[in-house]
Amino acid sequence: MVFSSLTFVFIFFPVFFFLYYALRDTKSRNQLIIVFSLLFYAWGEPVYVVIMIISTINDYAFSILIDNVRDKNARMAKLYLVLSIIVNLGLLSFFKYSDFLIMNLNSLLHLKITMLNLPLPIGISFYTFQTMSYTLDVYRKQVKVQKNFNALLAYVTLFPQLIAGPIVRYSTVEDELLNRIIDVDLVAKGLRRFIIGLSKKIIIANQVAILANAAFAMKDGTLNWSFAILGIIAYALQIFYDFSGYSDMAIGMGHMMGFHFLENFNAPYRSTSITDFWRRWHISLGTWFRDYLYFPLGGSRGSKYRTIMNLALVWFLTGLWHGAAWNFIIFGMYYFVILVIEKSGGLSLISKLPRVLRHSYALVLILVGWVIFRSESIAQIGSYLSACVGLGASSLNIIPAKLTYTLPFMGLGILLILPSPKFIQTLNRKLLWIGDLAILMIFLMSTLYLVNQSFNPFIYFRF
Amino acid sequence: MKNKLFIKVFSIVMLGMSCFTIFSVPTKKVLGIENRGTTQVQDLNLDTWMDTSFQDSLEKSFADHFIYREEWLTAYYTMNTKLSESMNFINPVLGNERVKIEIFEKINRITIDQTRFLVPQASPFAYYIKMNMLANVETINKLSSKINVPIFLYIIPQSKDTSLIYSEFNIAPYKQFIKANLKIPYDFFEVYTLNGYLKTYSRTDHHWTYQGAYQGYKDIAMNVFNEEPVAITKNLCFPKFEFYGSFSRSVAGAIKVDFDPVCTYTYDYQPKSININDEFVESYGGLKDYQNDLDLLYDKYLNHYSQMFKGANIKLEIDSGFMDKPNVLLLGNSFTSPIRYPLSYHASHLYYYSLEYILQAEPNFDLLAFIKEKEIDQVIMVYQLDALRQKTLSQQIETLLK
Repeated sequence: MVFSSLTFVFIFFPVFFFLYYALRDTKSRNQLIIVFSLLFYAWGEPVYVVIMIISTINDYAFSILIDNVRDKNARMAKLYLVLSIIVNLGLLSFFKYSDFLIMNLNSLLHLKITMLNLPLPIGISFYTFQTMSYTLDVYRKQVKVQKNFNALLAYVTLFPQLIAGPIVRYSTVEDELLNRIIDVDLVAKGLRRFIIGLSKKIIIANQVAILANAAFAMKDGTLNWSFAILGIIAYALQIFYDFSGYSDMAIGMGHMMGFHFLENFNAPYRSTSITDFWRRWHISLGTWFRDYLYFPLGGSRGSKYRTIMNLALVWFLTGLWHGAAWNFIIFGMYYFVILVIEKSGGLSLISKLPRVLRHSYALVLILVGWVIFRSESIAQIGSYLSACVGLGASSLNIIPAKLTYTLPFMGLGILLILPSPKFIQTLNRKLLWIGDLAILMIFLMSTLYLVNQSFNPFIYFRF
Repeated sequence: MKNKLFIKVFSIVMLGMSCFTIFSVPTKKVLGIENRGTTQVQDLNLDTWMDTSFQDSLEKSFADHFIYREEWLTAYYTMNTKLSESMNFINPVLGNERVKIEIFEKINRITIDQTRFLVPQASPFAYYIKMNMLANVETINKLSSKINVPIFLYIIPQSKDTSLIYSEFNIAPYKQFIKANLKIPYDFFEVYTLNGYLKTYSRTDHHWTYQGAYQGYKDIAMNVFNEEPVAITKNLCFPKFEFYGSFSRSVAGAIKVDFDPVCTYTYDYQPKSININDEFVESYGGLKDYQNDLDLLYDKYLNHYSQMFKGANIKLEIDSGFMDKPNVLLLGNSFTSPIRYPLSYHASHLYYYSLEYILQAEPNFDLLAFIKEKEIDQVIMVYQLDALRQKTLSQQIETLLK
C-alpha cells in the first residue's frame, strides 16, 4: 500500500488512528502498530513480509546474544555482530544485487549464468539499515538491548517509515517505544505535516514527473536544449518533493503516534556547495554511512590517502545503495570526486564567491548528478547532457505543447523551495487559522488528484 | 485555528468522505463518464490475497465508488484546461485549439480525433498506410479465393477521413487504391458527401449515428440482396440517457459539447430466435415487448452508441425464420452493431462474428468448416476505413485462415 492512494488516506489512516486513540496503554498500541504495519506491508508484498520478519528475528536474537557475552567475551560478541550483519547484508545483496552481479559476471567472463529475476522486496534497503543500526548500537552499548520482541517488531515494521524511510535509528525511538506521550498539539502538528507531505507528493511531484519522464523518454537526438534543461529541473523537483513529501508524511504520522523521528531534509536546494548539499539531503542515509561506516573506517583522522579511500568506499556504497546499476555507482563516484575536490581546498575557494554564484555552482552540479541518477544507461547520460548544452535536436517549441500544463506546478515547486519572505512567516504565526484553512484546501486538492489517479476510461477506439 | 478545532474539522471531512463512499458501494454499477462498469471486489481467499488481486480490486472498487467521483474528475480536467490555456504563450507557434487537444491527449493517454474539432486537414496517404492497406486487401482477396463463397466489403470512412470542405479530395486516393487492388465487390459509405455530416456521424464519437448506420444498411441491402430495406416502425429516443462519446468522455466534461441524442429505430420485423455467445435470448421476442418500457429496452439491448446487443466483441446468430433466404456470415466490429438486426431480415440465418472475439474466445475456430457446416451463402465484411489502414485486420484474417 502506498500513502498516496485513496485506500490509504480514506480507509487505512482513519481506521488505524481511530483504534490507536481508542487504546490507552503503549503496549496495546504497539500491538496495533504491528498488526496494521504487517497488513500495510503484506497488502503489496504478501510473500516478502516473511523476509522482514526473518530480518527482525535475526537482529532480535543476535542482539540478545551480543548483550549476554559482550562483557565476558568480546570476540564472541564481535562474531555475533558479524553473523548478524552477514544475514542482513546477505538478504539485501541476494534480493537486490544478485542479478546485477550475474549480469556483470556474464559480461566480463562470457558466462551464461541464468538471471534470478527476483522482485525486490519493498523497503528492504531501509529496514535492513534500521535493523543493522540497532544491533550495531547494542554492540557499541549505545542502546539497551530490547528483550521485548513486540517492541522491536513494532520499531522495524512501523508503517510510516517502513518502505521509504527516513532511516529511523533505534536510538531515536528507544524510549518512545515503551513510553510515549500523545497530546493534541503533537497530533495536530503531525496531521498538518502529513497533509503537507501528501500534497508535495501528489500535487507537485507527480505533476512535474510527467515533464521529467517525457524528457528522459525522448530518443537520442530528438531532445532540444530547452526541453532537456526543463526536464532535468523537473526531475530535480520531482525527486525532492516525492522523497521529502514521503518523509513529511512519515514524520507527521510519527508525531500522531507520539514518536519524534529526525528530519530527513533541510532545504537541500538552498545549498552553497556539494558538501553542504549532502548535509541537507537524505540526512538519515548520510549520517548512517557516516556513523556506521566512515567513522569506523577512521574517517578523516588518518592519512590523506586513507581519507580518500574511506570516502571512495562510502560513496561507492552510497551509490550502490540507491540501486543495482552502473549509473548509481557513477552517481556515487561523481559525488566522491566533487567532495574530494571540495575537501582539498575547493570549498575555501568557493566560499569566497558571491552567494548567488555559490548557489549556482551547487545547483549545476546537483542537476548533473540527477541526470546520472535518472538515466537508464551510460549512453543516455552522455546524450542527455549533450542536449543540455545545445548538441541535441533543434525545435521551435520550448517544450511539447501537451506538457505546458505542468509548468505552473514547476513554478510552484521552485517557489516553495525559496525562503519564504518574513511577512509571510509573521502572518502565518499571527493568523494560524489562515494557514490551517489553506492546509484543509490543500487536502481537498490532493483528493482531487488522488481521484484522478484512478481515472480509467475504457478505450475502445480500435473497434 | 486552534489545534483541537483543526483536528475536528479534518476528521469530519475525512470520515465524511470515507463513510459516504463506503455506503455508496453497493448502489453504483456503471461509471458513465468512463464508459465502464465499476470494479467488483474479488472474494478474499489465500490465492486472491497472495496474487494481490483482492487488494487491487478493493482499491479500484473504492476509487470507483469514491464520493462525487465524476465531479472530482470534471473539476480536475477543468482546472488543467485553465492551466494549459494560461500557459499557451510558451509555444506561440501552435494554435490554441491544437494545444488544448494535445493536452487532453497527454492527460488521458489516448488519441483524440482532432480533425473533427479543428480546421480540416487532408489525411496523408503515407507509404506505410499504403503497405498496410495492401496487406489487408490482399488478405481479403486470399480469403475470398479460399472460402469459395461471395464476399462483399462495405467500407465506412469516418468523420476524420471526411472533412467538410475537402471530403471528396480526402477520400479519393483510398477509393482509387481499393478499386485497383480489391478483387471482390465492395462499396463505400457515401452519405457524408450529401451534407449529412452531423446526422450520419456522431458529434462526440467516432462511430456513425443510428441514422448513418441505417443509410449504410440500406446500401448493403440493395448491393448484396437487391432488396428494399425493412420498414422502420419507430424512432425511439432516450432523453434520460446522456451520450458520452469518445471525445467528451476523454476530456471528462472539461469541454462542453452538444451531445447527440441516444436513439434507435425499431423495425417491422421480428426474428424467430436470437443467440448471443451461444446463449439463447429467450425473452427477446422482438423490441415490441420493451417499447413501453424504454429503460428496460435500453438496459437489455442497447448501449449509448445505439448498438444493438451491447458490445462489439461477441458472436451472434439471428434466425429470421425466412427459410428461403440465404445464410449470411457478417464479419466486423462495433460499426456493425446497429445494422445486425435489420440485416438479418434479408437472411435465413445471420451469423455475426468479430475477429477479435474469435481470436480471444475461440482460437481454434475453423472458418472453412464453419462456412461448410452452416451452409453460408454470403459473407459480408463491414469495417471502417481506419481498420483497413492498420495492420491488425490482415493479421487477424491470416490467423483465421491458418
